[in-house]
Amino acid sequence: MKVSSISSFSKTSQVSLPLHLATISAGFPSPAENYVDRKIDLNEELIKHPAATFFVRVEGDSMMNAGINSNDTLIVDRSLEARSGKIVVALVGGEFTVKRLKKENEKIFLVPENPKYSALEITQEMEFSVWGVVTYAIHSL
Amino acid sequence: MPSTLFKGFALVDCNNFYVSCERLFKPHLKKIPSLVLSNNDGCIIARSKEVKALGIPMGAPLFEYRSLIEKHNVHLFSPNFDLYSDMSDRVMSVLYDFSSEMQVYSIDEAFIPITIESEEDFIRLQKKVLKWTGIPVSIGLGPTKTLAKMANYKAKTNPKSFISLMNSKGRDAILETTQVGDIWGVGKKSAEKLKAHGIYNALQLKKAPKEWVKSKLHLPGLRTLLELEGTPCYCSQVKADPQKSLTYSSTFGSPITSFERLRESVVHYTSKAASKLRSKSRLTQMMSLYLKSRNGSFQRSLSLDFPTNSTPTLIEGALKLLSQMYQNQTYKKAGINFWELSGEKEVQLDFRSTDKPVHTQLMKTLDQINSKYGSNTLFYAGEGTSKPWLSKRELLSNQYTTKLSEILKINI
Repeated sequence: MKVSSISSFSKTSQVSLPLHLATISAGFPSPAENYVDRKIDLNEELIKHPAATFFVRVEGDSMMNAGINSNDTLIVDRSLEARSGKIVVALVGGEFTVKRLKKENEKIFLVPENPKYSALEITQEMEFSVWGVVTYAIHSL
Repeated sequence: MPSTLFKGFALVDCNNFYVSCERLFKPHLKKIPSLVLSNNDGCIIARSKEVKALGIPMGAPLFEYRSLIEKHNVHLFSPNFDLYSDMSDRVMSVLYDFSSEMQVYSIDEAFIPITIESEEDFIRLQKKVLKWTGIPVSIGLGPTKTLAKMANYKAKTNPKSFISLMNSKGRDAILETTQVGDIWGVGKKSAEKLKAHGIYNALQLKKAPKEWVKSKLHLPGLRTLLELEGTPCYCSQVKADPQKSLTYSSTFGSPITSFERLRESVVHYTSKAASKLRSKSRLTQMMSLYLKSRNGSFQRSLSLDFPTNSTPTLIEGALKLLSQMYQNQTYKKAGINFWELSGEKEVQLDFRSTDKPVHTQLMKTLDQINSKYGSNTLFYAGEGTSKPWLSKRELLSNQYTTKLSEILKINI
């Protein structure tokens, strides 16, 4: 029988950076210098409602001025309320889109963030729903 | 849970679960008849409302209904167990937020004990699950699990997907419309026995003499009768339909704080569950690890590349889940669940999707030695496994929630 493989346990879901609690003053080392308390966990910071959070990749430039570039990965939270002014993933006629939601005088608009494109008014006959609220856009530089 | 506060159970069940998971990311299929096939694309394992309306039964072989499917443009999916197990975890965690006493029953069902919660609370929960996870659920309430299950069954055809049998008024009318074969806990054989004696519906069963029911259907039959009357007999976690899932769980003799000891227990429980699976000649496609600590209960699932009952493959899965879930806490209980079971014979049709012959032979030898000299004579020390072959699944959708390269893409 083969010897079992020996592997170390590692948590794969965290992105951690140690957070040093002691301030470093010149000259004298702090007694707490080596004490590292909590680690920064990006999952904890960026994802408040894991059960309701999904990732989406976008292609296109209609939301450029909101800081969303083509090929960005968006963090989408379905638990949040779709308030006016929020950037949302929406469904129009069964098709996905990402736009800023605007509610004005009982009218609903999906507004792009690029002068090349015009806003879309959501009328009664249109099949419309909000799929989730975009909380973060991620792109490498 | 104080017994004075206990009022009954809610059974929360996802509507057309696998199809609903697929439709969340393909909303244009919302009204299109859709179904999900089994691992080798041979049988139908999930159907949308529209497919049910076409009269296509659950478990039917695909080829038998090819022409009907083509005629109505039914959309086919290969089973995306990675997606389904992740979506199940999401639904369960929303339910757990609502009540820490919730009991997972299957991949898409859970019982929630009712104490101080009102009907409105459950209606709000139904809306929350849909908003947070995108999965529509039906909820049935009842003073017992059997009645909660019955209420849930009726809720499936209710416009609000919500039925309460908490009030005894009007309950008998519902019992009368429920056939004995559809009562939770009454299997085919029991249903035939009852029908042979003129008992066709739940109301007739409820009114039948208790001694007679006990003599014909024994203790489980009597318990079902009592539950139909409103007397709870099943309060703690119950094991789900052994045809559809298998569980091995146990409270630790003494609470575990070290990772090594927890790892040992998980390996042990997985071995036990795997040999149970083999003894029933069944294979599993999805598994969950359940851990209960002083801080709460946690469950996490994953899917396997192909149906298996091989201990090393299943241990590998269990340890992967453990490494994702483990936190420095004191653990009281662990459990392994296998969902989406299939028969050994069904899978042999596609040689690519079975375990390597050496695994099967090894398993046979392992089981023989253990049955001759006592179980645990031979046990696993965490053997590594070779990469499994991929199964046939040609109509597979993306792993939208478990693979960054396969997330939903939107043109904006």
